Amino acid sequence: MGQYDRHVFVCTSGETCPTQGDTERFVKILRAGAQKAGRSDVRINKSGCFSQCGHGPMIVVYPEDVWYAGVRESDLEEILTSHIIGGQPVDRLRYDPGVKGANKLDVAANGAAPGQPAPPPVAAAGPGWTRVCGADEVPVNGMKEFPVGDVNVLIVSTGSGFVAYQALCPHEAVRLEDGVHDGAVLTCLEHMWQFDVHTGAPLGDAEAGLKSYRLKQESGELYVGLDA
Amino acid sequence: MKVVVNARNGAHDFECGPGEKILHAGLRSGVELPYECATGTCGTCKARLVSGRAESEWPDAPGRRYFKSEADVLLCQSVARDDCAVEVGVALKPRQPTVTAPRALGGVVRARRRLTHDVMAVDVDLDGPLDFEAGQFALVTVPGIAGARAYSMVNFERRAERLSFVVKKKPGGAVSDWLFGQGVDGTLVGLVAPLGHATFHPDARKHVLCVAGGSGIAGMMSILSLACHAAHFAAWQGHVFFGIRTARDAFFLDELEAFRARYPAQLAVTVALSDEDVAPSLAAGYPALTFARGLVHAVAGERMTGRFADVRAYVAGPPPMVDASLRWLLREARLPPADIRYDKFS
Repeated sequence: MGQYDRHVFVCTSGETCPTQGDTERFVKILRAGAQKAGRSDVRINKSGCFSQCGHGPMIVVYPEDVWYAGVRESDLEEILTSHIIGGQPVDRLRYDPGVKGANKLDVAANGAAPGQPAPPPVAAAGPGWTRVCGADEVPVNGMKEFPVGDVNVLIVSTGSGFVAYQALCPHEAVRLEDGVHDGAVLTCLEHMWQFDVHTGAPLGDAEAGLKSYRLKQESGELYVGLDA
Repeated sequence: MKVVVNARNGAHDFECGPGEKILHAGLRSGVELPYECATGTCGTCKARLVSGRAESEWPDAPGRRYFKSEADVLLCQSVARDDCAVEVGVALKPRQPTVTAPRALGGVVRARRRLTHDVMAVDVDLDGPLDFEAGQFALVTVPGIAGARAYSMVNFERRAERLSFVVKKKPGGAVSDWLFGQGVDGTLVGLVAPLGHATFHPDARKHVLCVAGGSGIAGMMSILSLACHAAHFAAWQGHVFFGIRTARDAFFLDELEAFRARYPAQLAVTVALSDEDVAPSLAAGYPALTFARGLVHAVAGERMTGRFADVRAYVAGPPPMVDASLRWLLREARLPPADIRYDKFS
């Protein structure tokens, strides 16, 4: 038996975690939350590198041995209440790259300057295509927002593949990434506008559909055509 | 002052009294302006001021985050200073003739009763009878404190002369501090009621699922009151999940047992404790209720698996709990939004 019921490690070092999010602040938020809940049996520690650079910010929770990747500040509340306090891991944020051990992305290994995104390897996919992310950066059956040049794009993992849409709901410019989809219907939680996951067409009360982008997958990388 | 609202399906106009919020004037006149929280937070009542002068009584309201232009206003916080024209980006729904339009009322604070260390039951006697739907709320303004707070009605009756509320003491909450303080009984308060769309009506031929956190149970009590009164549970099931942190945060357990006693085969009530295990003494004290350890949406998710056909869900509580519940109801339960009714207050 360990000294704590739940022990949480937030990577605040390594090659990319500190620049992919304010991870020092993550630690403060989680500590304040655990304290507010009166959970002295929970320990939040800053951690060194997990050798998963490029997938961050990363948080690991024991004893469940659950790894979270690509955590945003807006995700912390859910991780805190559901998992750290409630014991229920947050499945949508789980990290499962399918390989054991070290798993650094090339961007990191190539030594991209901290805070600077790696130059998109446009040539790999041909002109008109811009790299968005590795296919494994999008949670399976989930969705995630990425900056691509001047626009932000929502990449949706549908279960059978990927689709790319505008990142904000056409209703009130709320981030769709914070909504949910079930493989058929994508719902913006703010005011419950819904869209067809596969086409972006409006459903129910929604009065406008989602702008979609051409998307292709090559060698595990996702590319979009922004002119579409 | 005359206010004209241009919506996607045409123009509507109504008179706005001095100091009256544009939202309240519209709803009172039968113009179904869009709104959810009515307290400046959700942004649903955002509109663009096209002409005339309107002033917000809460210029920094959080609902501002949806603004795209200097001319945007929140109808729930704005007062017309002369004739105004505003534009809303949606089509207005037709008014349902059976639903009472909200109006301003006066009330007197009567019985207050401590329910827990930080929750108080407050009754307000109205200056005239009021009809409302189960699940609706009232805006309450207390003397000397700017801004209205929204409280759901706990009771349900036609031509109600008294409204019962549940008030949770919030750190730094001026209104809850006042309501918990001395010399409150007999004080006059202002109300605008009834408001809110998270309503239950027995005409909805559906099973009832209530997921409530803390003082969010208030509206559920109204819903259960009507559902029992209308014998809804003779034909349909009720599943109530009430989330609290610890046993000392529990209230209304006797009342929930009383509802259960009327429909023991059809109505189930589960109390979820997020922060401590269920003490045997607690479970023994309320044999008609089920107790479980966990977050209320997780407990509900576990126990409702495979039972979502013909269900309409009602959700109320702190925003993170409401959000987690909505995610679960959309993704796992796959309920259509029309069958998920919730109020998001923060």
